[in-house]
Amino acid sequence: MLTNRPTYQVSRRASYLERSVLRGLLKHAVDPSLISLAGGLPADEDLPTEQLNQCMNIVLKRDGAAALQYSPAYAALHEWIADYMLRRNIACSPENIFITNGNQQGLSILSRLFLDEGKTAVIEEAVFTGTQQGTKGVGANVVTIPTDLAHGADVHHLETVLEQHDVKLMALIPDFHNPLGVSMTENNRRRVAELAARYHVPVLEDDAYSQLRFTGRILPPIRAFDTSGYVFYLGSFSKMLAPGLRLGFMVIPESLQPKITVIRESIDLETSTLMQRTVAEFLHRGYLEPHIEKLRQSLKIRAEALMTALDKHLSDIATWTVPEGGLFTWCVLPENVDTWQLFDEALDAGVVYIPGGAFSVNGGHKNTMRLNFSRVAPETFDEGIKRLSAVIRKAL
Amino acid sequence: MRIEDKLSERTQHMQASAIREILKVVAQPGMISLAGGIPAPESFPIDIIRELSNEVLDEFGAAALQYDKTEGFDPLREALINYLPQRNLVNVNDKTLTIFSGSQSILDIVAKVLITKGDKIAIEAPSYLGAISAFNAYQPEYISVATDDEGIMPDALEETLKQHTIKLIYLVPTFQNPTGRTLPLARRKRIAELIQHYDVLLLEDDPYSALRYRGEAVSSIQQFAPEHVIYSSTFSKILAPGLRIGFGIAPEALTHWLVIAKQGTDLHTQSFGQAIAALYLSGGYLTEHLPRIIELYRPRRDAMLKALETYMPQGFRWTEPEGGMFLWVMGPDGLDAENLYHQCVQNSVAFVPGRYFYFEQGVGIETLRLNFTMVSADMITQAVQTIASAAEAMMLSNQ
Ligand SMILES: Cc1ncc(COP(=O)(O)O)c(C=O)c1O
Ligand SMILES: Cc1ncc(COP(=O)(O)O)c(C=O)c1O
Repeated sequence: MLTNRPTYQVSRRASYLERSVLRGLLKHAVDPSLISLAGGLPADEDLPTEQLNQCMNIVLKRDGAAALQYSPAYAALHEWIADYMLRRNIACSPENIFITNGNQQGLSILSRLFLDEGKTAVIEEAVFTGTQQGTKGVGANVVTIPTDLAHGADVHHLETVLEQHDVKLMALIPDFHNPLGVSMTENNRRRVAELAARYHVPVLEDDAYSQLRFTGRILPPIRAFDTSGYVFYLGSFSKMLAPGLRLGFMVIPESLQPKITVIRESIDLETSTLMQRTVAEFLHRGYLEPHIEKLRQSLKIRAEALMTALDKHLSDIATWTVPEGGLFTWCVLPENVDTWQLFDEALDAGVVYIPGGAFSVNGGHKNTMRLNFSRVAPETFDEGIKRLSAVIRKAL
Repeated sequence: MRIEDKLSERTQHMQASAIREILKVVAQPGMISLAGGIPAPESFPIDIIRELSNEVLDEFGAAALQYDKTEGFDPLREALINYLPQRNLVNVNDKTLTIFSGSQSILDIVAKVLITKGDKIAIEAPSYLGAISAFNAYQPEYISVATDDEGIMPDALEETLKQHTIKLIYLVPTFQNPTGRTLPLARRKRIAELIQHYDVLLLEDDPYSALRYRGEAVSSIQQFAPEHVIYSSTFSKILAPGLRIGFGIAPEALTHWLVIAKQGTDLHTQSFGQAIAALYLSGGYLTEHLPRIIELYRPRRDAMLKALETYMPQGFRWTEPEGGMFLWVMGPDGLDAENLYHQCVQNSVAFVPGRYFYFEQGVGIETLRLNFTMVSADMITQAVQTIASAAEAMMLSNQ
């Protein structure tokens, strides 16, 4: 019988998708022989490994088979999260909580909920690739708004876009933006909530980093100013606890629980009950706050070391955002520097970063890079930035 | 304006299944349920998992808690590439294997990559509903292909392939959910030829083949047409569903797209569970534990067949699966299995009326899906007796 060569024709939707450069660079980010400023992961020593292990032991012993079966969402986890949200000025009850496999899944679910192919989503011009994959992944047409390096997403511009386009969803990262490191001002958060209500456009508030603040006070989320029910808050345990757990949550109107549950079940049924219970145990034992406090200290020391190194080696030719929290700083180099072109040379010199262009929705940002400070030992930044500086200077 | 008015068109195709409601009813205490589709809790290797969860950190350290690559946790990928060839049912290598968040997520991601609104998916009827609900998000059309007691009929499939441009065929060829049917080898080979000839992709969903209680294992269709088959399986039935770990094997060129689509959906599958699964395979625990699961289920399956033989009234037929978790009962024409269900629930016995496994209305009215893994052999016998007497009473009153 005749055998054809297969022709794998992918869907229109898939053809919009691009492989995330970040995922591809992960192997460099964790390569111990390099000074890696490329990752977005906590340092291994900053993970509460022992405590998580202890909690899993307790859960398996106490819950037995129930911790391993197909299960409805774990009520104790909902309750803890609802309480935590109250402490963040979000009025909600356990019925408003929906557990996800992390904010990436939240992005994916809400994109499906609000976007059809060809419909318009607003995202920031330089943004986490997962935000792009979530929205473009359902075939949406994205319109971008700029992000100010001091105040976060440009709300004025946002309003113009809402005026001009039939927007179905806007996705924002108000706290310690990935990749820019900046946070939105409290006033701008309030304005976004007002715009959502006025234009009837749902906001996806993607919060992966707010708790990692080591300078100043934690700001209320956009959702805290929401009176219209149009703001959807997404919180993740990836950075607060451990990314490999793949655990996050959404705060949603109770009326949408059934619909979102159906969408979720079609995607992958549910979140691992063993992980939900293990994390719930961790939270109930009060392990989170001390852990985050320790993490903040660790991040603060590392961020300061990076700032010192940047001041010393690059202050004459570069500018950067000074982080008050999170994992990243955004570094802007002279116009004629192309950070993609320098990448291999930097790799040879034993230092890696992410070229800013990797986050750019419309192209551009060639002369920028994202530097991560959560993984490298504080004393190593000086050497890392020194090497980077040498590579950049050669290209000037 | 209500937020409900803002929802995408695609969500309108997505509705909660009736089975969900049934499963709520049957969760009541005192009910003997043959309705569920979940493994028996006593099949879980709890002690092994406890031991392995402690070994994970010694063995892999922080890697089990960090972000990982989308393709899956390397130790699990390696363990599967070592293990699967021992069963000699599928072809696999490093470039064709991807770990997913349960096999449900393979169904979603495959459709995400392949289906554009209006594309046609050929399915057998009845079919696994979770697959239909995964596909619905991408707004396909369905073409139903005729089946008989041995599963999908190759000639009918060929007819469909001639008449329609089919984008994807979805089959559960082994111990199908809901019927328990297994496609014989000759049909598998013929289907492999057809999909190559017509250059169509087949999604071969295989969560149950490891649970074989009688007879000989059958090769997957994937082995005969690896360039045209996406094979999907899971740890849900041989380890624990609460870990949410499945794996897919697809042609390399497609794997590229599956990985990209998965990035946008959940970045990667949770690492800790993958680490447990890796040790479960590489430490030989699966080989040790799987026979225990089989020994647990075999007497239950045998008891159900025996009870059906003993008690069911004339006019009923049923499948005799050699494995898996389900069996399909076909009543005489005119029997309304939904009515029967309500009768049985009043007597504290539950099952799922078969009509819910068809995406068309008005078909399969006289059918029932019975699960034989969740309750003991004695309770199964008792439950079948209840179903049989209720059926008999209904048939009498219909006369
Ligand atoms: C802004 C932003 N959103 C979402 C995510 C994904 O988070 P999760 O691990 O919760 O899926 C990240 C991770 O880097 C992120 O930076
Ligand atoms: C045919 C079939 N496919 C897929 C699944 C999903 O299983 P999981 O996502 O737990 O691997 C099931 C579960 O019952 C099933 O019966």
